Amino acid sequence: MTISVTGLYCFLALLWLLPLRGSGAEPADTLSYSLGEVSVSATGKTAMRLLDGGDMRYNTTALSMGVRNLGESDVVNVVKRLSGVVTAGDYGTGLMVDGAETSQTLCRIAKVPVFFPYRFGGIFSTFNTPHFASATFSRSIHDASMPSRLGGRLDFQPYSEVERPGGSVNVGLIASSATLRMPLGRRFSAIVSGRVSYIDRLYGQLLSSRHNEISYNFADLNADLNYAVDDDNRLSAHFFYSNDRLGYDDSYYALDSRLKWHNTLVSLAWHHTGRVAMEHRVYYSGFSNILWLELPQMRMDVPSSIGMAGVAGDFRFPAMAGGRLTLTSGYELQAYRNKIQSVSTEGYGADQRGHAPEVATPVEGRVYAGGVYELSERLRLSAGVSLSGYAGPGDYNAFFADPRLTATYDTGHGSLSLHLGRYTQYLHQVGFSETGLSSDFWITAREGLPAQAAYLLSGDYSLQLRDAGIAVNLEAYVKKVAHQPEYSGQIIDLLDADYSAEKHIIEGHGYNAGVNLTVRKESGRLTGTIAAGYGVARRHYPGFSGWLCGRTDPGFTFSADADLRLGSHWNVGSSFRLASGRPYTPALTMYIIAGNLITEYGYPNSARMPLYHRLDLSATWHLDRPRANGGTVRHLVNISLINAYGRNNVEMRKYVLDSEGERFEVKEVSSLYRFLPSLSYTLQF
Amino acid sequence: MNAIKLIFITLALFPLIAGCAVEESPEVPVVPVIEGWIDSDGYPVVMFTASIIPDEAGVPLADKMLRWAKVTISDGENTVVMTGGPSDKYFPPFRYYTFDIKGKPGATYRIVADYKDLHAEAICTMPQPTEIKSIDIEPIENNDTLRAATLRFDAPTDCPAYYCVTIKNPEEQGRALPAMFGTVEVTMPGQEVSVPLLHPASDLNDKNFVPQLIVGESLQVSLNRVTPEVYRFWREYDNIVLFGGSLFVSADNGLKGNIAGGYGVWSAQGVSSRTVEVK
Repeated sequence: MTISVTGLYCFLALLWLLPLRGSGAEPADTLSYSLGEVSVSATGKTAMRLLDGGDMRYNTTALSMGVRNLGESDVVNVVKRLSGVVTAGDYGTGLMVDGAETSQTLCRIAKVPVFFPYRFGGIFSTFNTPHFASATFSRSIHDASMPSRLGGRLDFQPYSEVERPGGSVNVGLIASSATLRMPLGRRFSAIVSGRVSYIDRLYGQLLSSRHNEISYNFADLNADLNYAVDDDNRLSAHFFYSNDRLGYDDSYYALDSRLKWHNTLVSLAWHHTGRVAMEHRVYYSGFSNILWLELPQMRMDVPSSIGMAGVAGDFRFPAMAGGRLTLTSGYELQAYRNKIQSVSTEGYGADQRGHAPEVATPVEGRVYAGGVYELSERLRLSAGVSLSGYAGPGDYNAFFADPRLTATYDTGHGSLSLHLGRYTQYLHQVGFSETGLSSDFWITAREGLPAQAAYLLSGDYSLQLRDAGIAVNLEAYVKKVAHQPEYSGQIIDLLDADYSAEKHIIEGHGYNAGVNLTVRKESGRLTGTIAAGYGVARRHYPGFSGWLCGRTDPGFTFSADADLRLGSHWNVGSSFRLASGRPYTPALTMYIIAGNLITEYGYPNSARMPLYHRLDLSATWHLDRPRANGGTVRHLVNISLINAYGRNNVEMRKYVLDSEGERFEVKEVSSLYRFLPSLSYTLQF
Repeated sequence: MNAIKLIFITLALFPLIAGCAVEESPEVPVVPVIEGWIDSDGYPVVMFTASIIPDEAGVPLADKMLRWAKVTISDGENTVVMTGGPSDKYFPPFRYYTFDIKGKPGATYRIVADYKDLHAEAICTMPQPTEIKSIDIEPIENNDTLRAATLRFDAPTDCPAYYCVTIKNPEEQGRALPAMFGTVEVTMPGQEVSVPLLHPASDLNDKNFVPQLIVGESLQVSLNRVTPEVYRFWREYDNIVLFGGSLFVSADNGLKGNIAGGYGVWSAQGVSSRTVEVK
């Protein structure tokens, strides 16, 4: 690995030193040529655009032409292919951005957080992509408006207006969805979408293996309502609900496991575009999960949940100082209801053991202010501060000032930014699962489990080669993290009458560091992305003298995506991903106790699974027909093949006794996806 | 600009430098493993095996039984060399035993086991036993063949006290095995404590495992009062055996035993037993 990493650095250094020249700072997707006083612009239909600062913007409609996982186009699956973004293998779905935990990545709909927006097995996210107008992904650099999270941010923007009826219907092999966008009179518009799955019927056998049987289904519903009060004022309402049900039966064990989780989000917003642009919203977002562990005639229920109700607003003030200074500010006030993981039992004995669920109701308030000042024609300074206060359970109260500073230098053909900032997070997510499943529970900051903190130094270099339609982004970061929680308890501890989650959470500190390169060709018949990155996440926990590898350690990542337009009706695409195997805790030795094989493990995350790689292919046929009332009706047929060469990516590794109890053997749980075909039909209108 | 470039390059190089700093797991040699017990008013049994390193996948477990070891037990007054012998009622099917020392509450027992260059020893003091008050067996709704059973006892005056409930099917097993969810810590003297009586879970039971008692079974149920170290060991064992098979929970913390020089547990335990006919 050292050689390949060194090679990567040589490549990055070469790229840095090469006098690459472009001829404009506009994103390549917006082709823009200045002819004296005249500017001609045309917006392309590329699925994604690489923005300055390494942010990505996704066109949800165009994404439907690319690789689909089991018939569904999904923004989160596309984000997962970026360098420095990893998941805990195919079973894990949460986005770990630049070495940050899944729970440190903020996912939002209309600026309202969604707590666990993931499906099982990396199939796709809970976000029904066609429902949204666009999505934006930001890695590390955030201004003061970033809410209290330490990692990346993925924002879904709903449609703000609907000029004519439209929508889409997607029929796939595991799920079908429909989205309808309707103007309702002159001022109202509504967008409604729903999706249901039927995975077990067609894919149940494919998802299961010789030793395990998986059943899984989900459904989600989105609804948005817009009301244009006048030219400067708009009201919007947003609703989102998602439900997942998962069962897992391992033939080695009598124990069966089931998970059920759901997200609910409701928000109302007022958007004002006057001299002082502003947006105010009131919202509720909730997530609940229940884990069932079942033996014949016995069951343990392990529920947990978090809900958040609040108000928030953002202001954007008119330019000052001759147009060189713009100011923004905002506020948030939110109350949580956090039910920490507990257990109840059934059929366990005459008496029920376990403890009553603990419910915490902390309150978090935050104000921020920031400004962007153009120091010169080329140098821009963005500075701001986020002030947050938190009244937690018991006597835990906290106040933090998080300053952020970004200096951006316009090189004439791109930009170079340096960012320095402090970040705070009052929410933790910990649990028993190795791969960040929904059973990992949320717990709000409290005595003995204070708010997480991060200090970020990040550099970003963006380059636009307009003539070639190529955008390049190079990011390097060092992030010091403190108060990182890790769950050290065992599930049997839940049966203790005096169980307390805090007792089983240890705190660590450490740092994430890495470099990511993204090269994106955004125009022409062939579009695509090549991304490579290398990062480390190092942690120090009590009881260990040295640095440990964090479970979020991204290691080496490489991806190459291409989308080729063939004639006027065909698009073919491919997506290749190569990454270091997931860090895991290796077995050191085993022995027999009471007839069972017991395994002793080494240092946490001190080994890696084998190299992960996978090639997905897709072909999309589309036919456009004009509509009587304007616009077009598009028919799409998408064929995708996931893991086209059948790579057996190992997700988990355990040692078990064979059925006769004579030998022990390695049991490897592999990726769910091998040679997995999908066919879907989409009607867009 | 040069300063900015320098910072940028330093940032980019940092992960490469930092990447070298992580601690590696040590390689663990083959070490001795002991699972042994001496009951109050009973005789000691020691199962002595060698640990398995991951590279040995496929090696027969029979090769891991240490048949020609020297295992001694002493009660502070006498030291006895235990006899090794095969038995199909144990797994692995070999154990060391002696009838020359009998367990007495309050006594301290030390075992020493040697095989070639493998050496392990352990020491444990036997607590006073606590009597089983009752074992209640109830029918399970809509099930004619299974029964829900509960063991009850009164907490002793010298709390905290630690217990491990074991079950033995004398027809099939030469030893008692820890009952599922059978570890209990008691802190309030005089309190009536109830423990569900469930079959021991085992990898070998595979999918046929049924936790509840089955009509027609004749079982020897024991309430073993153990030391805190032994309680912790069996409690962690329970967690691993029960939940190690779930994709959704990780149960890979290993076991903290009381064997110096190896893994496993040596338990001198105060025992109260009853035979239960499941009807």
